[in-house]
Amino acid sequence: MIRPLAALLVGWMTCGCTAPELCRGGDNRSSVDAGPLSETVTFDDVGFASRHFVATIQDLPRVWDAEAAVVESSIGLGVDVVYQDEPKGGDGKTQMPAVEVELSVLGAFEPFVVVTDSFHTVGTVSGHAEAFRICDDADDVDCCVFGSTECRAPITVSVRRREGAPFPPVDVSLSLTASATVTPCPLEEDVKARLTLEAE
Amino acid sequence: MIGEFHRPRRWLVSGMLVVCSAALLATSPPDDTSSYTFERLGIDGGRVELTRDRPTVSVFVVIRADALGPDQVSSTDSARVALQGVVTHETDDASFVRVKLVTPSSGTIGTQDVLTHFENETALSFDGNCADPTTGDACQARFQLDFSLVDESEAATPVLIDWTFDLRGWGQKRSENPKNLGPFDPPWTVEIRSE
Repeated sequence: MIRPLAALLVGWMTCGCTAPELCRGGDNRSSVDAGPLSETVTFDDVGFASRHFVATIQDLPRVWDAEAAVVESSIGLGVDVVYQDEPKGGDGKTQMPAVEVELSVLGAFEPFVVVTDSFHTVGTVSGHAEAFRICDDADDVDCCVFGSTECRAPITVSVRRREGAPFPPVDVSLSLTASATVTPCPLEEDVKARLTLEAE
Repeated sequence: MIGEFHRPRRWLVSGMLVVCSAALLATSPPDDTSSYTFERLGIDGGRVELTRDRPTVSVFVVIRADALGPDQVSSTDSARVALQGVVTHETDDASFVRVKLVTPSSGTIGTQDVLTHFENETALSFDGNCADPTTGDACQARFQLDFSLVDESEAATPVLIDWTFDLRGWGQKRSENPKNLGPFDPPWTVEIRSE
């Protein structure tokens, strides 16, 4: 009576230990990147403009991990402000008009919002927002449905120049990048997902 | 046998630790200083006018401590100056104004090219007999503010700059009843001269 019970116990313990080994702790993940994609918005005075982009991830594994195939994903944004004429500014010692930039990804959780400094230095303003929100329901919109082989993330970058004259006309440069980490788990196939970033 | 040999030494070490701790406590300086804060805010730096004919103006500020503060405490420790200004243009065709702050101890603190306003802050170093400002070398600090048009040819109309500054200083003194006191008006004379 005791022997079969012990055998069952050993069998159960063995199964319990080996099941998680199917996914090897994430060491088979691969990263894909896209961009940078650059766009310049010109303001002569106070004003507002928006630009639209779309990030697409394709060729995801047909069988997803229990959690997600896209483990992490983000849209990165760099913002630079310079004057159209000399002095160009952007050197940290020339007064510049405040420019507010919002990066929002449709369906993602939080937008990234930044207001440039009065003494803006080129190359110092950047941020990111989540790119692909995973959802379970096929009827859910603006999200990456569990099990899809392709997902799209519509991106809007809104730019508002807050201060006008006497500040001269400025160029606001936007630099957009996308990145994602993909796992083939639970299958050990090679992931060949592709990530693209385009202006709309 | 070994245990009996070590027991007196253990007692000796423990005793030494107790004595050392007590000695440290007895000789540590108690936190018994009162702090004194001094400040004079919104001092008018005057109006500076920059034109094509006069594109550069330098303003020299001398701060002299005339006496010690209340309870004979120094007022010049960790002194600082914070300055701010507004630039006014008569037309929308504005010219950048270069504002440069200089102190004798640190040289050029910062240079800014501005259109509407500016602000800056730095430490002020008092030299002289600040322990007793009424005798010996004058206890004083200085700073210089240079204003200039970045491009003189653009200044069709005069550019006006109105600026003010805040002065702050600290002092401390041993006291049986430590307190934070102030802010007091510092016993300082401020001279402003422009060239």
